[in-house]
Amino acid sequence: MNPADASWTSLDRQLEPLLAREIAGIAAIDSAMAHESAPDYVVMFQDAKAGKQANVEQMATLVRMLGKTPDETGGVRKTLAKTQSSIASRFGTTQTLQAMRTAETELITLYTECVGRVDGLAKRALRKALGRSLVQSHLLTAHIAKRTRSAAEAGLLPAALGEYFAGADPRACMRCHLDRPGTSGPLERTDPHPYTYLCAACHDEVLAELPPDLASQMDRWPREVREAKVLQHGLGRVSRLNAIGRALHPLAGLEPELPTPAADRAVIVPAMTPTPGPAPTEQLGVLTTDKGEGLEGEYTDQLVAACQVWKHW
Amino acid sequence: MQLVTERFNEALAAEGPDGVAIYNSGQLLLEEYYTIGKIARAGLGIATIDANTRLCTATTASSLMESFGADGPPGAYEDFDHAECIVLVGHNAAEQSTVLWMRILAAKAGPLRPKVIVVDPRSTLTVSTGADLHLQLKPGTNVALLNGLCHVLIENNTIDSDFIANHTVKFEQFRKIVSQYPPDRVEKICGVPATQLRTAAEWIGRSKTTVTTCLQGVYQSNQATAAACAVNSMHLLMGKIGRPGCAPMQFAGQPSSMNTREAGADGTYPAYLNWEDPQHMRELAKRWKVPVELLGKKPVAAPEIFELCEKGYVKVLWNIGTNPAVSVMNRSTHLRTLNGVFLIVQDCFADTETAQLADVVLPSAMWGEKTGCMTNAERRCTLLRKAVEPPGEARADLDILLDFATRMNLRDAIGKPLIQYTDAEGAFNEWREISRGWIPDYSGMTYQKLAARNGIQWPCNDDHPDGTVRLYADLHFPTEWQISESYEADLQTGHEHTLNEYREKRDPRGRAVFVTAEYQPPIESTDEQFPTLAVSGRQAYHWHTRTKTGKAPQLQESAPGVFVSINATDANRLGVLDGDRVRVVSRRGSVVAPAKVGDVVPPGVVFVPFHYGDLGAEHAANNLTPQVSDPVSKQPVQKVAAVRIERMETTTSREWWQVEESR
Repeated sequence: MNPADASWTSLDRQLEPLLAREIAGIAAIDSAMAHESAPDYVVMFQDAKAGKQANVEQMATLVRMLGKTPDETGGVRKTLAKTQSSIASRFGTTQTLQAMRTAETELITLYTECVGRVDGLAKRALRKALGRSLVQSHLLTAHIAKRTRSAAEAGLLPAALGEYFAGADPRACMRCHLDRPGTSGPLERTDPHPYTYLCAACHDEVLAELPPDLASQMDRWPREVREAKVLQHGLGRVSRLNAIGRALHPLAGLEPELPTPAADRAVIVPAMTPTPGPAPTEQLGVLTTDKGEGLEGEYTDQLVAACQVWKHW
Repeated sequence: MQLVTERFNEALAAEGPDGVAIYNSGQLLLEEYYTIGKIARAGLGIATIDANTRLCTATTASSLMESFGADGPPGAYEDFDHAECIVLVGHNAAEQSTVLWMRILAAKAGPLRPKVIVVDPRSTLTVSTGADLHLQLKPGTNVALLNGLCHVLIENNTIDSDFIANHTVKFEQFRKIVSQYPPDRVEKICGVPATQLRTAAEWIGRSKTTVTTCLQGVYQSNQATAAACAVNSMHLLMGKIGRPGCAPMQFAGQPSSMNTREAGADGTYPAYLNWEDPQHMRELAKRWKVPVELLGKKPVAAPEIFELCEKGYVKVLWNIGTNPAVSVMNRSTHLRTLNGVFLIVQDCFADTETAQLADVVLPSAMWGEKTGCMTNAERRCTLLRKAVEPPGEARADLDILLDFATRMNLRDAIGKPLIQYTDAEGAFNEWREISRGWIPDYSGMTYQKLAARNGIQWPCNDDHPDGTVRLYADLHFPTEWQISESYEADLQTGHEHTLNEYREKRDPRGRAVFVTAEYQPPIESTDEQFPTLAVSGRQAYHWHTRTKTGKAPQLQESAPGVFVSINATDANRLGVLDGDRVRVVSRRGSVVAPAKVGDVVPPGVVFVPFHYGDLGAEHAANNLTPQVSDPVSKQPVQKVAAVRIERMETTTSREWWQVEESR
């Protein structure tokens, strides 16, 4: 399905409720973030918001391609969601997570229906958005299960709760937002540093992501430097996207999703013609400058006589 | 343009905002940066936008944010005229800032006769033409040296205790750290004699006025943000800020890189707004007339953008006015990356190395062929009028951007075109309103006013209609949570406090912050296989990747090709004669070039200029550099690469410098 196809004409109307719900969801997250004191949950909310923003941008692009203007106001639903979120966050993080999941469940139903009605680029776009929504929903369910110790909630997950949380308490790794088990152990930095937490599984995965030239030198780094390097890399955008595709997709019952590296798509090996140098000229102008006096004059003399400068190269 | 919009739409729809990226420049005009930023953030909704200023000036911004709460250089060029002591840290001014260096040399002949201290691993033209003291430190050890200077300043009691007590925070933590750096220890780490360090501290501390500059020897080196912050802290120690002749001058490496940072074409939001502050985003959304829910995305810096491209997340890369095929770190890897994405190159030259890898080239005008503003490192905005028409199909970058926005059907929340201005002055006028009331306030400037003067320094508004020579004259710093651009980053990881944490526990409430760190050796280290440190840098006659200067025969003749500067001791040991071809090999790639033997670099260090990078030859210094960035500024560490030198062949002909020397 492409913009020229007749079936696209109704696409913008199909996307309207999804756009409104996603915008409302973002407003609700903003409201929840303002009340959240735990830094790990703030980061989790920021990423949840980023996922919803990505969904909106994808759908907005589809609408713009029709020559129309996407309605990104969120309407009445936004006001309602903000109020609900504000109330829920006053009762605590668990209630906030439950409210967020309720909204996400509605979205999954709508996305699933919509994916079935479209094809082509629109289908690809909505599948991607549905994937984000499913991941988010399972993330929330895992946290709710951990925080409420509810077997029923844990039963909704495709894997045992222990695969999502290794420790006794609910924590949100700042890369994958869970607290998955691993061999290297979790990394944590506290006051005077900004609070930072990376779960054991992410620690392992980030170590494996480091470029080979750096990984080969890692044993020489003091422990603090090594851990800081892992945190720096692990909190970067690439590593966080890797965590979603490699780790969170399977934990949401989805296939792992990783893109094809650019080098595999390269069509020409870059090693071509050198950039042509300047054409030879018979008579070159001479470099000059406004000459000062004293040290300034001596300096400018050297500058225009390049061979004097070469002594310093 | 149709192909460009089709590819953008397809990638955005199918992949989302991580599917496309914009990598722009430090050499465009203010109005163009503002438009790029608005298109990216309010139109496409992407966070993957940055500029090549990430390679040159990102640490300037991060250090000013960490020390003073927000970006914005505090000083002015006229401060050099009032200084009794000038300290250049990692700044080869005689080759990189030639006009400024003339000004400094003129000042040396004036009544104040300032002492000039140069901190540089190389014995540069700056050292020979005007330095009173050269602290020749080992590459990557800036933090240890600066901690040592601060140690002696405290020891000598050449500090301003009243200023520290009334206008700063975290002095005790700072003092505790620098107390670990007595001159003897600094000598062991940096190789700078303790007596020289003491002399430098004596000159700095006893002078009534001091200006300190930093450039790429700080910004592209180990612990970049920590070192630049240490310079800021040194000035706080002495209360030397906000008055004539007293400034930490954190420099910018390109003509308009200040504008990239101010207008939001790099990783930051326009007008130094903080992406994490809901009130900042609400205000911006109101002025842009877009939903606030779609703003406030965590910026993604250039090194991460290239990694996103490499791993396959980014499908379409729009490269505007820059040449990463030569300048990107770990270049060997990223040449394939650039070849594997759908690459749009917008440039005034079609034969750049990056353009050779492009899927689409959009020919653009260069300065003199278009109208707009540039702001320099003292916050001075200058209007540049179009003098000639651009050749052929070339258009002003702004016109290409406006065309793109129209073709993409970008609209605001009420359905009107997102960008309603049609020329540079219209863009400037919108920018004035966006910046109104924020730190880089341009609201009091107009094209007419700029045309009548030799530029105006921001903030320029109703309170300061003629602009402002220097910031922080009232000794109040924008560190309050309501205005701060940073919430105090961890210098080792780059991670910041949350807004709530900062507001409740860390807010300095208008005071400046003493920031420094323990010295940490570079993570790229020498060993038996790679026993030498390579540093890269610039030459007086070329600008970056030679896209322009390589076409000026006089300049090209003055600096015709790549070379490897090597110390005579090392050359003797390796059997390398002056002019012999050598291969410099790092863990990532190699450079083949003639050896220039001498005493410019110390033993154990080689220097390779980074201007050269023809696709078919091993000339690029960035073949050697690691994919390592400063945790806070995300600026690539391009000054520290472990290498080995392999002798290839004795030259049969004379190299260019030998021909000239024999005359």
